[in-house]
Amino acid sequence: MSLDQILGLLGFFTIVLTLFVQWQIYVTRAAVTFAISSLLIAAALVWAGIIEGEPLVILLGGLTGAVRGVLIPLLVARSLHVRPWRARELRPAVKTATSIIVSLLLVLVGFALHRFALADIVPAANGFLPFALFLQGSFLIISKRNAFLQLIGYLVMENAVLLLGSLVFPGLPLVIEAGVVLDLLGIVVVSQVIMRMREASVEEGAESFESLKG
Amino acid sequence: MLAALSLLQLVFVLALAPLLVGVQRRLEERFQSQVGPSVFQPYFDLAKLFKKESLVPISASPFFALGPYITFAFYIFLTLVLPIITAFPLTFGPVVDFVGGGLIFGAAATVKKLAALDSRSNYAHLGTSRSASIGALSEPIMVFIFIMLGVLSKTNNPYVINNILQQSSTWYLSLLHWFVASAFFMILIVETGQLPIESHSTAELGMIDQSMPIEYSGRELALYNWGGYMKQFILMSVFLNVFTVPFWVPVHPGAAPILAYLGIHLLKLLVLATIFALINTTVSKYKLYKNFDFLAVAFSLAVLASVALYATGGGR
Repeated sequence: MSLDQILGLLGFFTIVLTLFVQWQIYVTRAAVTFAISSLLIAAALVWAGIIEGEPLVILLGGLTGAVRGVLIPLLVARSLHVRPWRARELRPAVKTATSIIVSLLLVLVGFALHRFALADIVPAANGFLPFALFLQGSFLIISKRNAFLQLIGYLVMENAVLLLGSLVFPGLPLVIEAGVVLDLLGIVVVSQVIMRMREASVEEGAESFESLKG
Repeated sequence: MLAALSLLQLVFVLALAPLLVGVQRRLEERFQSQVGPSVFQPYFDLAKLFKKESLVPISASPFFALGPYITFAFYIFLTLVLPIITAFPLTFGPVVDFVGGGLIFGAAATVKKLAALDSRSNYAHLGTSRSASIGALSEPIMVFIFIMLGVLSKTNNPYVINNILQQSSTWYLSLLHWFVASAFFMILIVETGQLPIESHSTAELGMIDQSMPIEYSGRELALYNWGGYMKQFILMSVFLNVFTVPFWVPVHPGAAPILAYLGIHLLKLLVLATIFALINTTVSKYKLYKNFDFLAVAFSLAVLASVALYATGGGR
């Protein structure tokens, strides 16, 4: 199998897994699904590194697997332990069945976008996959109110960038490795900012049950 | 020769469809560390029902009693035209294509619904409305899946699709084929009433197909159930022979390979029944409105099949 085919398979698999994340209302399941897709990307990177004999790519694969496949899901799980009311989506902004269909339509939009506007820049046949994934990730953020699911949406967008980088620059330069470090920034800074903003703006979970207290 | 094979296929399906259901139920009980009924229990049930008296609601029209006979005839017809024990068309094989087969499945479902409405029972009406609202979405997905398989083989003929998948490893391993197969698996769960869509219980909140024959009794109920077993057997066979495991199905006429394949086919079905039993013991039932999320995912997989075809050029 060539690198292009591996990336194509991987991209389709990630798109399906993102549809599954869109389907879930429990954060744990979404996190596990995301971990699986990240581990797959990591495995593909390690394999590509072995084929091309590039130790840096193998290292990048290892880092991706460790950070996105293990560390981030573990952090989410720990965080849920502290804030159990965030364990599920209470009121999704868009109904689940509709959001799955919209996510699918965004894949088609990504396909059309690549076919009619971006085919010159990204000539690979599978070049639409990162764009589709990027749109799916951003829709995941829009359609959910749960901060952890929004965080996963953000990470899906990052995976899309990683995939795009692998497609456009088959040598996988250091720019992409910076993406992995950005993940750490993402989990620490962006999630904190998002959580603070949400806590300030939206009342959710426990607050709405306050009135039930005797 | 072909006529004899058609007869063999018909007897095979008629005789073993209840066994398949019995095996699956037994496996489910075994997985829960219970003894469970004998694998032959569906046969005992059918035998008992055939001996019982038939009762018809006073408000029902004659169509109510005719319904199970019509649907049973539809399933017999489907048995004769679909690739179950051979990968070459039998006597009635050229009569319909894949879309035609899908339409006959739809016709059988429609007759079932009309007869259920005719029974004037509230429970039957409840089941009909649920079944219709789910079917209105699942049947188009099924037609879409068949169209995608048509793109793969450039025909609508299930036998040709089987032969292509048997011979071409490129098509067999293509994304198009596996997206279509997974979408059909989800539709198979809906159509055969497995969890997470429907449980075997008769709890009112979750009843879909169980509540439709609620006014039937005696021979009509026996035929209704037997037709249901056949539908499950045929759909599972099509899923195996056309979608996922097209191998070993005899491509040329010949007594020995076909007889050997009868055993292999039962083994294939046993594996699928075990998978269903595993799903039924580990997955909990969805609320009714969550079924539409499930269908949305099945639809997405079917559409992704077409995207995969255009993006990667399929098997070429």
